[in-house]
Amino acid sequence: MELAQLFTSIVTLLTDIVEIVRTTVGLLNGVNFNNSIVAEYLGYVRFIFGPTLWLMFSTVLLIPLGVTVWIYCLKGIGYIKEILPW
Amino acid sequence: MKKIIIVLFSFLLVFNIVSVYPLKASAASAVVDSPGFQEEAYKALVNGIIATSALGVGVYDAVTPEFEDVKKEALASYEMLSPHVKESWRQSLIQAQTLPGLYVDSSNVIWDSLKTTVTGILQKKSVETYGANGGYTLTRYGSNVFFQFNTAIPLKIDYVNFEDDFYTADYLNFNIYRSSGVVTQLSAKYTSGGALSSDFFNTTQEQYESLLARIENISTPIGLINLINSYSTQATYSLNFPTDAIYDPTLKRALENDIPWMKDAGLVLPMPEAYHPTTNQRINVNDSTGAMTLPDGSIYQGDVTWKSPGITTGLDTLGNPAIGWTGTNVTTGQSTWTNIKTGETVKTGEGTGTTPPGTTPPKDTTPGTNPFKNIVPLALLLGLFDLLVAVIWYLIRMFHFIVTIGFIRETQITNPYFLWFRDLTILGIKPYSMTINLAIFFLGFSIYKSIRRVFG
Repeated sequence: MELAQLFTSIVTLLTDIVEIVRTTVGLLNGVNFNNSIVAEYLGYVRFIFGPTLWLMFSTVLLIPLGVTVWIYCLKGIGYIKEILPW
Repeated sequence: MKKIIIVLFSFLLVFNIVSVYPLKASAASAVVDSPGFQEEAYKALVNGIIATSALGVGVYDAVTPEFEDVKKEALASYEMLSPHVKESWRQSLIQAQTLPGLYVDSSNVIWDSLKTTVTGILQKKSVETYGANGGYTLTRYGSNVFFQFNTAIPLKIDYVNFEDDFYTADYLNFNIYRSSGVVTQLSAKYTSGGALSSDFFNTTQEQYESLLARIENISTPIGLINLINSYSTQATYSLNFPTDAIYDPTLKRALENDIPWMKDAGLVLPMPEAYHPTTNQRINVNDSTGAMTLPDGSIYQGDVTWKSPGITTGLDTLGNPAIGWTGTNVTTGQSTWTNIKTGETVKTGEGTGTTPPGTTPPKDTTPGTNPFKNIVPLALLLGLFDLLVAVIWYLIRMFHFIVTIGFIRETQITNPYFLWFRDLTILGIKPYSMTINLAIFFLGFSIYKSIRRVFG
């Protein structure tokens, strides 16, 4: 195999990696956290609950659950970092 | 008490599901499911796609006039759009530009024009000279353009990086990265009939200016199609010359003539050396006349092996005899090496200062041999940095969403069945209000119990 072919294959591999990274970045940037489905559903829930029950529901249940999920995301990132060799 | 709370909560859950979903099916999707709405949305979508994609094709017109008809069609279809559709496209474009992590660049437009022009400049000579396997290849990843010669070329240019200032009307700024680490900053002024317009881009000044105007006018749908094509946050364009040697003086002269800015940047290609194909004698070539003479002074006419100058080591990086030395591969047991120029013979392992052949390939310390050493980690780091930024934005937006869940706007329910149930009164008792009040009471009581269990 010629040197140019070797370099070309190496560059192809690395470009694939970069392309994957770029695609992942695009996907992450594309995630919509004002998810209309969730927001609409919780809007109905709030209308049905009324202000008092909604305040209790959101502060006692929803936000602690969400923060727990968020912390678990951080833990997942930590696990990924443990797997990585560098 | 626990059973009552569980029953109440399960009732609330069931009540939510039962009351919300029929409402969504009837009221919310009534508009979207109507044939008129779908038709209008489809028309707007198709017209917008046609207009934007065809206008993107229209940019090709700057370098390829045969797209004139396509461009006319595209502009006509875009003009046919209704004003509010145009306005919605414009607004969506503005909104997209204000989003974090997203902005519109014109990398694809530049890439296409660059590919077309550079191909037009160099295709002729390189392909004619070297056939299908020779010449060069243009590869692209992301917004980076790599310009690779398949033949071995001692160009000493490894990486040309067009900065964001590429878009300025007067100057073309780019950095030339060499694998030795030297970075040459080059700023070529754009003038009428200058190197950029007629030689490098192979376009007229008017075409180039129109291209620039279209790129800078970001309020046109061109920016939108670039947004669709690429979410890149880097506007980087690179010309890459990864191989190390041009063996043929014909290509050297062709490159020097066709790319005048190389001379302006002081990038003079080294003249390759000619050797006899069988005896490996050095042949002197007159650069101007092309006349070839052997070391004894006799005129030589015949095939010539072109080799890159300046390499004095015995082995190359692959362990084969380098240029200037004869011998076979070290793995076959070769023990004696002969220098073509001086005639000196060196045995294996007896390398001197400039004659280091040995059983193990020496480390190649010649600058300009491994351009990837500098290029690829840069691109990878940029990509990983983008990934890091994206993950951080992901976490920030998710946390923001979680914290602001309590402030979600309530959706008004106008379903008459729900309103009837809300206002239902049986012997002076309102089940809906009573359910909510009981839920409030028991939820508060459960919180009170848990607090008392922990702190009491």
